[in-house]
Parts: sequence; structure tokens; C-alpha cells
Amino acid sequence: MVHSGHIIELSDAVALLGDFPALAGLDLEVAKGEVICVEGPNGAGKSTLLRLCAGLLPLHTGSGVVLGKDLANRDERRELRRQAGLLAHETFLYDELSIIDNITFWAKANRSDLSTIEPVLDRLGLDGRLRTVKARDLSAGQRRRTSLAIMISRRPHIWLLDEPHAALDQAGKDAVDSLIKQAVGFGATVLLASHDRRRARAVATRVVNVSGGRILQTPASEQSESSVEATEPVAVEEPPSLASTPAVSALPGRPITKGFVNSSTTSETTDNSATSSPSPDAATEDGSSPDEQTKEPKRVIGATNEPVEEPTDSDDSVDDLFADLLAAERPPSLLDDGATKTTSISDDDPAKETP
Amino acid sequence: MIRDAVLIAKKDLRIEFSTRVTLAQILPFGILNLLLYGFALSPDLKVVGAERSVLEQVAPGLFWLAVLFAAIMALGRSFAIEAADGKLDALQMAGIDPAGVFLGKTAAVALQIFLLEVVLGLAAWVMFGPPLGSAMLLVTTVLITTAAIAAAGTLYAAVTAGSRVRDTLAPLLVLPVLTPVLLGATLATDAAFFGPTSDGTPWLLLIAVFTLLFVGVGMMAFGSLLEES
Repeated sequence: MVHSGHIIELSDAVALLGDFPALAGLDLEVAKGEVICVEGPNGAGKSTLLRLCAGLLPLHTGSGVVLGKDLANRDERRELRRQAGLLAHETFLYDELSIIDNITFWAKANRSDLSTIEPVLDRLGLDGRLRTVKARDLSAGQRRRTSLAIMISRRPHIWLLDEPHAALDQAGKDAVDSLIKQAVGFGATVLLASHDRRRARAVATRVVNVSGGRILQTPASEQSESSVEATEPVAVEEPPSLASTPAVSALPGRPITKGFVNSSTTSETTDNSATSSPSPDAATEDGSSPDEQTKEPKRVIGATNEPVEEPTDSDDSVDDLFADLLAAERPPSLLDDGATKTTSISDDDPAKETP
Repeated sequence: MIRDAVLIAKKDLRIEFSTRVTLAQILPFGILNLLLYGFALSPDLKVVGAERSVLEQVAPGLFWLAVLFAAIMALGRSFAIEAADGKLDALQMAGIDPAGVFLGKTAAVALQIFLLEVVLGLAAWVMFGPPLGSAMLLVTTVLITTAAIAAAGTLYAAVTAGSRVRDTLAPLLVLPVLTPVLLGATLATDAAFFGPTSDGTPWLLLIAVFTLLFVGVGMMAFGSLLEES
């Protein structure tokens, strides 16, 4: 199947749950490094979209390519499943096993490096005696963190997050946001479905609205938070950046914040942050074509003053991210609620929706 | 594949060791079965002119029935832990060989069934008391039959794993399939106790072929079954 370099490319995609078309002709293109916030009411098809992109559902009709794998081909779907990371409503945990036993099992099953287990657990606040607690005795938030740790240890090139903020406390939500930003900076692509609109939109480069199994054209009043607030800057609580923590900022090598900019200090970038499929006729200020803009999304929300860098094309990028994750000490944001800061957001992201 | 099978088997056995469901629930269920058979068929009940009591004559069949019912419970549990909380999806997303999953789960269940057979066999021998003829034939029968029940049971448990009615559907599907195994194991065991030993050999071959067939099909089809579940 021909594809144009997008990480996700769905055209008129139909996926069935039983006999019910949970996705009914959905079109979506996602470029490398994008963070797509998928919104929509319950039953709209958000979770089905994520499962389709994870290779867990066959494509009934239409065409679909994710990470270069044809969703209509069973063998390619199997390959895709091994490269994708899915944080689902389910936690994939064996209740009778402890946190450490669960993550060790899945790390072995996923062919992950076992030496990464301890740092990942530390990073997600699952350290100390907690790691020997059986999964059945964990709180919902702790189960979620464990599930996230398992997903991270897979080193996926595409992160499919279904309600990633659900059940988490403030620090956990901050940690998720930080991880998303850090992952994208290293070339990962993220598709997240969340009912926590403000938080999800704060990390998203584009918002798509799903209803009835299709992508809807989102009215202006419903577009991404950044665009809504463009005319009247509103102070919102920005999750603490990983990069702002001493442990991470001291990391050697590449800056983990690449790909993000502080919108309040780089108005030029936000002006050009057309993050959804623009109109074919739309003229852009920098003269780039709409297609180019779609393929090269600009980050509009961030917390650092680092210059914009596009995600790398290297396949090693996600692995590099993981190496840096391990090198970093656990940031205060995972433990301390008081580490948050307030950032003025003044985006004017058009955030047009894919028709 | 072998590495994956060992990984899955160790995980399943670890869960079993943690919960002790086989020891605390399934084994007593099997013993209860044997006791009820004993009550239903009094040791004093004899067919006129027969040397052995009815209970003694049917003891091998009763033993394998008790094993089969207990094994069904163990098999159901083996997949219940995978079906819960999305782990079937996670298994698909892991880079794990589906044939390894099948072999691992089969091995773990087989070990549990074997332990059940040892205890139930001792209980049956104490209760029904038939004299043992050929220990070799008995051990061989137990080992091959264990593999047959585990392989076919794991395959059918996977078929029903994604169903909401798997707990009732799996026995309905697997018990008819295991009928030849029950028949062969009963007659081979009867031969081990009451001779002649040569009478048991054809039945052992039947069970061995059955086992190979289901292990082969399971290894080939398990990936597709996981996807469909």
C-alpha cells in the first residue's frame, strides 16, 4: 500500500465491533511527532480508533497504514502491534502478581531490557515497598502508573493513550503530560483520547473530534484550547516540565525539550501553528503549503524557552528517549503537587479539524 | 518459542502458587467427585457371578471422570486470568510467540492436572482398592492422557476466551472432544490394573495421536484464536 510518510494514514476506515461499525468511514492523517487529542462523546469511536491504530482491530473497509504497516494485512498488523504502545482502560495487570512481577513479566514478554525496570518504576513513583504489593491491592491510580510503566518499557514509536489522565492524582497527571512531551521531542507520535479537555489540549498539537465513528469538522468555539484562548490570554496551570527539573536539565546529550516552545515567547511559531488539516486553499504566512504544515506540526504549548526542533527521523530516537528517561532521576513533579507553575498561554492555534 | 513457553508457564504457576486455587478448591472438588461415586455405587454392589464389585470394575472410569471434571475447572481458570483486564490484548501486543503462549499454558495446566491425578489416584486406590498390575502402563497412561487433556483443553479454552459465556461454553465444547481420551484412558488404566497389559497399548497410541494432533493444531492456530478472542 502506498503511503506518504505519515505515521497514521486512515482513509474512509471502517472498523467493526461485532456487527456494529464503531468507525464508519474515518479519515485521519498524523505526521511524525504530532500529539493528537481525540475528543468526542462516549461511544463516538475514540477507543476503537486507538485499538485500530494499535493493530488490535482489523480494517473492515477503507484503507489504513500505521507506522508503515497496512491494517488490512494480518501479518503487518502483528508487526504493528509489537511497535505500538497502548495505554487502555484496562491495565493489563495480573492481580495475583506484584508490581515488580507484573512489569518483569511484561518486560520479558516484550523483549525489553530488564535493567530498565527499576528506573522506570522509580520514575513513576512505584518505588520502595510499593513494588512488592500485589496488583489487586493497588489503587486505581497506582495500577494506571504501573500500566504506564509497562507501556514505556516497550519503547513504542507511537503512543496510543486512552484516557491517560484517568484515576491519576495531580502529580500523576503531570507526569503523564511530561512524558508525552518528552517522548514527542524524541520523535514519538501520540494519539490521546481524554475527557480532561483542558489538560489534553494543553499537550496536543491538534484536536480532532470524533462522533459516530467519523472525524467531525470542529466549530471554532470548540477548537483547541490554545486557539480559543488566543484573543484573550488566560492563565492556566501548566504541568511542570521535566526539563525544568534539575535532574533532567543536567542530562548530557540532546535536550529533551526539543520540539516544544514556550508559546508566550515565540509568537511567530504560534502564528503558524496550523495543526489540523488546513483548507487546501488556505494561505500560510510563511508561504508553506498546507500539506507541509500538516507534515510538520508546530508545538504550541510548552514550558521552556528551548528553540523549536522538529522530531528526528532517526528510528533510534525513541530508544534515545528511553535512555534519557533512565538517566534522569525522578523529577519532583512525580511526587510533589507544589511543583507546578503558572504560565500565560496566548496561543492562536487555528486547530482546524480534519474534514 | 520455547523461551516464551517457559515464561508463560512460570507466570501461570506463580499465580497458582500465589492463589492456591488448584490445591484449595479444584482438588477437593475432585475428591468430592470420587466420594460421591463411592456413595452412588456401594462397594458391596456386585453383579451376580462377577468376581469384582461394580465399583472396582468401574473405578478406572470414575477416576478419569473425576480428573476430567477437575481439569475443566483448571483450564477455565487458566484463561480466566488472561481474559480479565485486557491481558489477551496485551499478549497480542507483546512480541511473544503465540505458539509459545499455547505451549506454556498447556504445560502449566498439564502440571496442575498431573498433581491432581496423583492425589486423586491415591484417593481412588484407597477408596476403591483395585490391585495394581502394571505400574509402567499406568504411569504412561497418566502422562499421555494429561498431555491430551491439557492440549485440547487449552485450545478450546482459547476458542471461548473472549466469550462472555466462556465458563459454561468451554465444558460444552471440550468434553465431547475429550470423549476418545476418556475412553482410551479408562481402558488403558483398566488394563494396567487388571491386565492383560497388551490391551492398553492400542488405547495409548490413540491418545498419543490425539495429543500430537491437538498440540500441532494449537501451535498453528493459537495466534489467530488470540486475535479472534
